[in-house]
Amino acid sequence: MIFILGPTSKLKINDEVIERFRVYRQLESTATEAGGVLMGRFIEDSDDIIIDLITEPTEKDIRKRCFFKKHLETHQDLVDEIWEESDGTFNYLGEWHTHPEKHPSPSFHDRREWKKVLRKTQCESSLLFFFIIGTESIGAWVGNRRNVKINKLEVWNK
Amino acid sequence: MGNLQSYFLSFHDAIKLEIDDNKVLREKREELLDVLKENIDFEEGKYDIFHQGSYTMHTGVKPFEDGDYDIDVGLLFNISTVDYPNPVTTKKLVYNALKDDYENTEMKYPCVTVKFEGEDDEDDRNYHVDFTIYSNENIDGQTYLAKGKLGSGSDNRTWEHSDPKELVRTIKENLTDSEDRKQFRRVIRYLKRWKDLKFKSVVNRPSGIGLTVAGLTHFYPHFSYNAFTKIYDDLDALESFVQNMINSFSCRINDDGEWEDRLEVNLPTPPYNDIYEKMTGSQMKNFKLKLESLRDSLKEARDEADPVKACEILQKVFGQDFPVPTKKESAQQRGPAIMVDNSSA
Repeated sequence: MIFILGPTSKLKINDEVIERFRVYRQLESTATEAGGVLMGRFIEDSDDIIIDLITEPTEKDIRKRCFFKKHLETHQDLVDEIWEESDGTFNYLGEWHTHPEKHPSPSFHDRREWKKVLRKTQCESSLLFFFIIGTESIGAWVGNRRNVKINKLEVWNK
Repeated sequence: MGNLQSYFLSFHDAIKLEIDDNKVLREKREELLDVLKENIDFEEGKYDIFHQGSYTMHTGVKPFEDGDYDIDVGLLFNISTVDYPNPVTTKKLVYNALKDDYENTEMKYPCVTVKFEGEDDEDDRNYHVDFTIYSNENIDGQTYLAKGKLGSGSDNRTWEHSDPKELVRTIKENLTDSEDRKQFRRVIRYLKRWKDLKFKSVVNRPSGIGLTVAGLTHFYPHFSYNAFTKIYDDLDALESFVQNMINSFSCRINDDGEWEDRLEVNLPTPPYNDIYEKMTGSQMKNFKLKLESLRDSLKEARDEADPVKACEILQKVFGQDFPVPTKKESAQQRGPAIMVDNSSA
């Protein structure tokens, strides 16, 4: 799945990641919200970005029907480990969570939290991404850390 | 997607073959020419040596798998077709001069071929040198190529109007900008390797010279500008070249009254014939299908944002010499990230 980032750049989510998202969809009325962080590559000689993997819910996370809070230290440790093992080529790219709706859109709470992420995260990328996994589709948003603006990403059709 | 260019350039470095870079090829050629000079029974005249073939035109590729290295040498004899009406007589001068020293000397219809077993331990490929023989001192000022085999009757031998030097010049000097020209040569080499891989052991496969000459009309350089610098895009150039060839297939009726979809590639120099005239209707059909499949793979690679996956697609098209980077190699290195506490609802 590919989203348009700019006239010459794309954001791709590799199939393995889509497969993991599929698992966490809130299909049952009792299913709780899941989430984690997005990680991937800034492609050499281009502005393309590939999401190669995600962190998934851990025991210490708080998961409710309509609420998710990841255990920061656990996920930060995972991100650090992957980043180190990849010699700095697999990087933190943003956050994901699920919604029990067909075509997801961010709640007021989500937007406020995303802005906090944009303002306070320390990393070398000016852009961060936010994914919401609905039961039938995936929504993707890009946030700019410089101006703290958030925009929805369009799916790229060949 | 400009970022596949570096992988195309590595592929090009892996497949290109320039005779000046290859000592064995050069030595074989010089050795044969020395033997020829020593043994030729041609007191009355002389001949000029002229290097033709893909290495001379900078479109040579390394032979694929068990393929031969081939070297093409033109011999322009200062004789007229009036004094030497039988072309085989002239070919025999060359054949006889070489056959005692080289047991694998054969007179083929368009040339005299000498085959060698590879001697090098690390590269035991075979070599062959094709000598084409021309009559180059005619009243009409033209050059004629000797065609015929030992014992060919007068119906099966001919002096064919030809202009090998002009052909080599036309291809070498195609396009005026030297960087555009380099892209032309690279793209021809990509296609030639594709052809070697995809038409392995196919009879009457599209020849390399056919693809090269097709490039004279169907290739356009593809690049964009970064301020004053041209940024070349070989993938785009190749895709449009392939598409232009596909578009140039046209239907015609063959001798059996059947419709055939054919690509004509006419030699830009005498005898101006269609280089692919010997391919049958079904061989042509196969050629077109393979071109279409190539185009589809090129498009797929261009649309793929992940260079690792794109190069995997291209490796299927061009073989193992096309590099596939690891995920690490494909990505920029960045510093660590320190995340913040947040929640979602």
